[in-house]
Amino acid sequence: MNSEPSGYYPVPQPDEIGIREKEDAMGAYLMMFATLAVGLPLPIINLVAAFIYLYLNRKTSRFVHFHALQSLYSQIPVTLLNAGMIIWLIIILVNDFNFTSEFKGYTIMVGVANLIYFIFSLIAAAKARKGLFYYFIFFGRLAYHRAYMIHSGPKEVAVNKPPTL
Amino acid sequence: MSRKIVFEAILLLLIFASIWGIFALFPIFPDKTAFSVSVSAEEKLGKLMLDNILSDPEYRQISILELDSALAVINKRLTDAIGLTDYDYKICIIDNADINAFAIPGGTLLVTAPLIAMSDSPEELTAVLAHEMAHIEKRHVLTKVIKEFTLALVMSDNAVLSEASRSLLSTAFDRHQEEEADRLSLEWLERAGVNPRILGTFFRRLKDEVGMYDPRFTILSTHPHINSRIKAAFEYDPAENFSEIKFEIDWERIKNILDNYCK
Repeated sequence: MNSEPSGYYPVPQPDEIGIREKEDAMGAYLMMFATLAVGLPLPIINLVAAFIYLYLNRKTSRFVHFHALQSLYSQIPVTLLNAGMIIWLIIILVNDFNFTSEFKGYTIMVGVANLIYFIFSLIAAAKARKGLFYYFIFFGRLAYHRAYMIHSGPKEVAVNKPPTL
Repeated sequence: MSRKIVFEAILLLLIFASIWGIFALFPIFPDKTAFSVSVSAEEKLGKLMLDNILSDPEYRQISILELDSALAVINKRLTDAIGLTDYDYKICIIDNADINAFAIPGGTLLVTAPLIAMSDSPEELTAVLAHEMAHIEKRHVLTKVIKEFTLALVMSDNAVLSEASRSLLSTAFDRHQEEEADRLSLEWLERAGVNPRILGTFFRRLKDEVGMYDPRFTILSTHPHINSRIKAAFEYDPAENFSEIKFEIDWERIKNILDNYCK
């Protein structure tokens, strides 16, 4: 069993997480699929929705924050890849209609990325509903780092001063 | 921690770059979409599009025995020059105000009456038809139709067939396709015993007499880069033993019959 790394808050166990938190964490992944359809063919809306979801849940709990971050982080490259494909496709269609092997290779790569994103998001949503963590490669570590790291630097305290007279 | 994050980021990049690279180097789809469509399917599509165009009262088909006979002679000379081909070419004359000639998938060529009226000889019309046939042989027409279909679907356009049919009348091929069609048609004209330079002569005469900006002059707007193409036609060097075989067609009589019919 892994022990908590130093400088990070301890991760909660399933029985320590409330049902509302579990549902919010699951919602971070499921919301993407709903907004994805709205955002086609240029899937930017789902990215905006992910930011809003993260912003709304930033203070609820670290568990929800982690899942919302992981969902957002993993979505950014997929969205950029999709947008790249659509733009490339439009360029081809308005120009010479020449579907190069580079474009076909890119399309397959984008398809694989979307499939992996879809499968992993569903697994993560199911785990989150049970109050479990599920770490994606790279994005999981990044989200954990962001949500659970203890910011130990001296906090600046705001001080009110009278105006200079 | 940060070292692991960097390692995983690099690993992800490598995995996806490899997928891209492998499928780009070893394509699993045919290179040219249009060549994966069978000729019989193309002919069926062509028939649908032709019916769609002819259903418009502005594109009425003209059928005159003398003109059809003359066109059959031209068609035979050209198809003999092409040699083995998948297509059964048909030439239709259309009563329309535009000066235009265009091809439809499956091997049907449409020529407007004013274009015939502007041609001085059957050889000039042959040059235009050879160019359109080259677009068919190289599947440029089908490629353009697939492009229009795809664009219409992406834009969720309901009248897909109608839009794609209209695109054949009014949109241009790209420069590469025009040059390829010119190159091929000049070779065919030489083989058909028609002086290849007549393609350049005809386009230059049309350009000089009517001008590029006449709205009726659709053939120039759908055949861009005209100057470089006229130049290429004049620079074409036929074989030393090339001898011109004139058509035995009374072209002025044909034009008069057509003119009277259109009136």
